Amino acid sequence: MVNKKVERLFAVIIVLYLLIIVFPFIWVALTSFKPESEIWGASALKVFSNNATVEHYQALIKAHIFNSLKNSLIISSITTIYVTFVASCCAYAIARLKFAGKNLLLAVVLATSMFPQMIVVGPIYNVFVKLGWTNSYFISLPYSMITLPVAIFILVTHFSKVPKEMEESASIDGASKMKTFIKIILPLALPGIFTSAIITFIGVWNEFLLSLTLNLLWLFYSKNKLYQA
Amino acid sequence: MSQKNSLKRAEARLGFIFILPSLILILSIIIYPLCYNIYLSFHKVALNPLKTPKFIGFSNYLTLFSDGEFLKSLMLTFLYVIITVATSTTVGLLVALLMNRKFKGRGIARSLVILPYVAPVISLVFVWQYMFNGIYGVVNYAAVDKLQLFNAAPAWFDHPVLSMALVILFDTWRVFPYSFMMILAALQAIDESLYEAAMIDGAGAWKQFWAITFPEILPVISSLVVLRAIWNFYKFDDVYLLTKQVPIMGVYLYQTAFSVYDFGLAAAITVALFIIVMTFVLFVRRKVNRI
Repeated sequence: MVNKKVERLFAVIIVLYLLIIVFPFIWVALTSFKPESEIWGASALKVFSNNATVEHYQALIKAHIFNSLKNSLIISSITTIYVTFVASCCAYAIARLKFAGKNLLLAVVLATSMFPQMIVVGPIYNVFVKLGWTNSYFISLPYSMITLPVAIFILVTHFSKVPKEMEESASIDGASKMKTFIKIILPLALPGIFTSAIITFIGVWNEFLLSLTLNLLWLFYSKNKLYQA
Repeated sequence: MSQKNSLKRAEARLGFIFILPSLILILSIIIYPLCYNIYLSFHKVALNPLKTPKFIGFSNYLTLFSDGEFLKSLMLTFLYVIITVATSTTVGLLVALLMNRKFKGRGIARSLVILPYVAPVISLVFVWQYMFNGIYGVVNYAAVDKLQLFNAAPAWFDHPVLSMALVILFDTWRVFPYSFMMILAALQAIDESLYEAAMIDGAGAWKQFWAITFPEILPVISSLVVLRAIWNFYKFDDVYLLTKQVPIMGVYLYQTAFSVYDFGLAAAITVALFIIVMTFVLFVRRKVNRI
């Protein structure tokens, strides 16, 4: 009896709470279909518009949104691919190989994962200006600073979870460390690799400060486009 | 024996080759700019990138610490960090506890919760600016016209205190899903039998939380607090985009470097901030190690 009441109260809290979280998303979606006069005007607070329109979406297409989206997509993909590759190698070395200076390296990776891009944006800007790399896809290089340490960190945890026995039996069968890595560790840690790739992709896709400073030509990225609007 | 040694050497060589790309990247895009910043902070940097910077000693640092704006900004940043870390971690913890129970539609609810964290900041800022707009915003409509919480429509983006409240609210809403995900993962890893034992001993929900749940998730919470504090200490994007009334450190730094184009001074700020954060990290590490 009491339990049922608690359950009901609990359900109400969750629904209310989700509404608050999701409300901005719903509101902006509804607004995007309203004509200009109803966005800023007496009827701005009506939930549904009587004269729903897709004119804003048409304006987006006219303003070359696809070009910006393409750039965002290319940069995010390039960064995701090379960061995942580089991070996998590094994480495997940290998780499974024995060599001098390993702990120091792990400490450096952990420490750098705490540095936000704010610290390095000035010097990177200088270097980019000197090399003439502004407004180019080279921006994916500095993006590895926000994504690489996190990717390494995630992959180390996943690689360490792969049972050691699998590796040992492979080495008894005569497989080299390299072969073990490619044939055993990578397939078994695939979910972890996907997780880190997704997190990398989202991180790059959403990054703002570097793309703001390293792209003096606006119109380059979808996110800058939004800022310009 | 010698074969074992050569195997070991081969392993070390492979390890070195494997870490080399990461090492080069970290050195060139993190460590090098960091050192370059330290170098620049002692120089007067000309606007023309071809001119060599002029050595001026500690002059940039003296300018910095005698600038009232900098000290004000520093205090504001501390306030911002303390409040947002507290709110985002608390909300994340509460939601994680809520969502750790079994109920219908839990999967959907969990994915909805992380929506603010995965959407691009800039688009979220636009939504908030529209929602908090003084005249046409839905928030003022609800708070002033319907609930009458305020006498006059509050100007969310122009009033210093209200803007501060707004950026704190925004940051909490945006980043609590991160705390939520981390804490939820820790909650799911707690051994069920601990609760069963507690139940047999007659411990209520409140007692169970403090005796079992809290100690189990404490490591996650402490690392969340440290990371969030560092990240928010350098917060730039959403505050810069939302309002011009909250000049926290990231905004102050950006304006010095890219509006005034004083890279020497900006480098000095970076170094000063870096020292503050490193001191904080070392202090926390020692505290945590003692526990």
